[in-house]
Amino acid sequence: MAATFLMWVSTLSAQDLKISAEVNRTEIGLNQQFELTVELSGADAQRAPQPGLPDISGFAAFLGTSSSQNIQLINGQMSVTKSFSHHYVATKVGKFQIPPVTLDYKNNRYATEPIDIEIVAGQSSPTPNSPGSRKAPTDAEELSELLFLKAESNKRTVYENEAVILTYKIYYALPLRGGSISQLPNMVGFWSEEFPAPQQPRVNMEVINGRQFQVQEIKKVALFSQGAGTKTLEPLAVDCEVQLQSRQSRRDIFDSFFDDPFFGLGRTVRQTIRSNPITITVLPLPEAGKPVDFSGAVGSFSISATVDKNNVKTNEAIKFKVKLAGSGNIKILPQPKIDFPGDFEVYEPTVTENIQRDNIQIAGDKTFEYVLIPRFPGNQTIKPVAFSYFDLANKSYQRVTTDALDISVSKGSESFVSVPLASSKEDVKFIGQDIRFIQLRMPQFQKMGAVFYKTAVFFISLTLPLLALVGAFGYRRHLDKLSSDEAYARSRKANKMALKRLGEANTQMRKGDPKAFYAEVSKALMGFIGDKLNVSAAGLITEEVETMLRRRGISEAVVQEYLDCLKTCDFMRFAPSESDNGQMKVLFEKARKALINLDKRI
Amino acid sequence: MRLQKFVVVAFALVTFGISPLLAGEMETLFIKANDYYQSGNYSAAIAEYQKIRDLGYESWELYYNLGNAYYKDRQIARAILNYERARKLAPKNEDINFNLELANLSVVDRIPRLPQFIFFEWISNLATLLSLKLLGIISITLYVLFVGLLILKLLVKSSAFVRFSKGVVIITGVLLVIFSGLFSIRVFENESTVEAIVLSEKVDIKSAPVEAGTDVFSLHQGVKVQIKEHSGDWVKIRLADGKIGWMKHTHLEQI
Repeated sequence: MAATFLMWVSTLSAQDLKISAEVNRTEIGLNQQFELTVELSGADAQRAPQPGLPDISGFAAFLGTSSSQNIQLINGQMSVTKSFSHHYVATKVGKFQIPPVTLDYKNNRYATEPIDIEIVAGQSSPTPNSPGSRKAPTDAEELSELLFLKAESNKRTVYENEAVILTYKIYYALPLRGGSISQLPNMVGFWSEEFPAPQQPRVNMEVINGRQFQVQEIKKVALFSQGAGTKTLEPLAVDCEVQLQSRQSRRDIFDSFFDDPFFGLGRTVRQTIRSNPITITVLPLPEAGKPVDFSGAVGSFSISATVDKNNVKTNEAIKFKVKLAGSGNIKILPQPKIDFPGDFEVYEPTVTENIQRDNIQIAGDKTFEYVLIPRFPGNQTIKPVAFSYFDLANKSYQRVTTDALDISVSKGSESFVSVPLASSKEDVKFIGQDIRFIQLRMPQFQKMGAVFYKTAVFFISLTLPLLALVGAFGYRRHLDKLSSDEAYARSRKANKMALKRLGEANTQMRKGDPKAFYAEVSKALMGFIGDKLNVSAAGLITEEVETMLRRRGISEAVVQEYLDCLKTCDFMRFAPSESDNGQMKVLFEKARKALINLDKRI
Repeated sequence: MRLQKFVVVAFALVTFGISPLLAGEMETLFIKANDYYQSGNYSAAIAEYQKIRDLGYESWELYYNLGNAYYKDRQIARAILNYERARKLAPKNEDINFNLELANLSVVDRIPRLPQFIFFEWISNLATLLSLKLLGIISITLYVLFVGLLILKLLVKSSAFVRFSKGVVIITGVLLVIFSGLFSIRVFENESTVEAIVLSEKVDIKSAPVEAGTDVFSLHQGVKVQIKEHSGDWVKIRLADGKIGWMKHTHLEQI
């Protein structure tokens, strides 16, 4: 083949580059690997760049490329063959075509023929069709029986924050040349704590179905679930390289001697193996009996507290340690709540973790170291520190406490006067000063709690002016009305005028002049009504007065009394003078009363 | 001297109705207490000063002297209590403020005052410039003057007076608004803030008014707190820096 090749090349010396492509098999099982080899040959092959990859992402995933170069000198002619092997994994069932691989070189475009392939479902055996792989002795089904990955968990049902130990083991019954983890399971929702890989990988022997397997642990991790529910851990994927050997020799004891990779009798195959997915049921922690200070710790813990000294002087530092130890998720253990005496200055603790990951559990301790500085002398007690956790052994909440620690603080060197802890500039100015002397002047004592605004004086001085103001306002209005409203003025004057006329009548009575007396009384009566009702008294006649008063709704008795007086006056004024002082006095009183009553009602 | 005494007694009688007999008794006690103080017998001085208080009377000088006696007797918390009482009666007195500041140096707890809006600081400072009583008297005087002027304005109609009164009424009105405003602020402060001094050497302040309550912080003698609420034996206190907690009222004495 090489000869024809060469001949062909030489005949086409003008075109010193040839490109071809082939796959190792055209029928591929799903998830099986296949290889696309692109070969460049010719004088220019060495200088030509690597051809681009065909886009076959629709049905295959690219794994990697290896390249090789072959240079031959035959009769002084150099022949170069450069090949690139692209490894793929089939990802989709169906018939597909690998498009041409193209290469642009020296203004020419070189392309390969497209290749048809078929990807079949299941573990169906790929029929090796390329001449190179015809010898492949093992089909995929058998391969999966001989090489597999197993995920094991020590528990399937756990509480929140309880550890699940997950172990991934690789089982192989054929030579394993190497492997690497290609995909880690998604561990969202878990706090994972990985066990360190052993320095020397331990290989155990295990017999399954009568076949002896070598078993190797490749990953071990402790998972702490952060929240309840059913959680599925996706499989772990490992890319392995295994050596396959011929079918007939496989069980041959003699030939198995030659299984040794050193002999290189078999063919190396890359295979991706996946572990089984694991489903874990995470139970929520019971609500019943959950302590208030519970912070989510699950496992088994103990707590202890120590101080480095019990007798100190003020302002001397004490180291106070709280140690939580046990098995569980040490890293998430919270800082315990500690009741320090108020007189202690407390600094943030330094936290140290010490985690042991042995075969079956995650255990360790966490130490919180506080620095305390007592500022005042006296006996102080650090109250017991409590820590609550959910105990897995008896499925209940447990509370552990430390002992109370007594610390006696004796007075340091400072004296009473210079107590200030943080003396500021203002403090300094007082140093060496004494209080000012007492007051010797006789004070004005006042009743205790006597506040000025609650005394009667205050109240009176607040209300009196207001009353005066109201009074003044009223008076002002009165004055204004007097000057502007004649009726009002007359009405206000009515009493005065009536009194004046009655006074005049009184003097006439004493003088013994009945006529003048009756005239004055009559005037007083008529004038009063005239003033009050703002009508001219001169034109008033008795009937008019009577209707006016009645219209005003004044009671009959009062009107009648008034009219009686008026009538008596009119009668007496013109009657022969036979009235005596007694009669006059009676009338005078009657008229006065009538006026008072009228005044009240008008 | 006799005249002065007469004036004092007369004034006391007029304003607060103290009988001359009682005034004389208090005077004797005050002089006696001062004598004790000067001779260095502070506890006896305290007892004498206290007797005046027991009669139900007070004055800033009494509290100031009592505070001094306590200070000398190394009872810092009580000294502060009495200085604070004196300051309430005479807020701007230099002697009181000096001694109070000095006594406060011995208080262990340093409580920073919360910064206030500057405008409120001014108003508050302005209001404390004068004693509550003086402020009240000024306000009342202005009030009487203002009302009097209004009355005159109502009654007197002469145009000369009207012209004169207009300006005066406005001036007194503005002054009245200012002073009565300050007075009201002071009255409000006086009524709304109840302050007390911690007398016990050390008190743990609880988060709730129960013995089992969590200790929130602790206070030492001499600290001034504001009383916010009462609940049985317990009082809710507030510090100048805004911290809140509960304590038994027995550890406190109201200023």
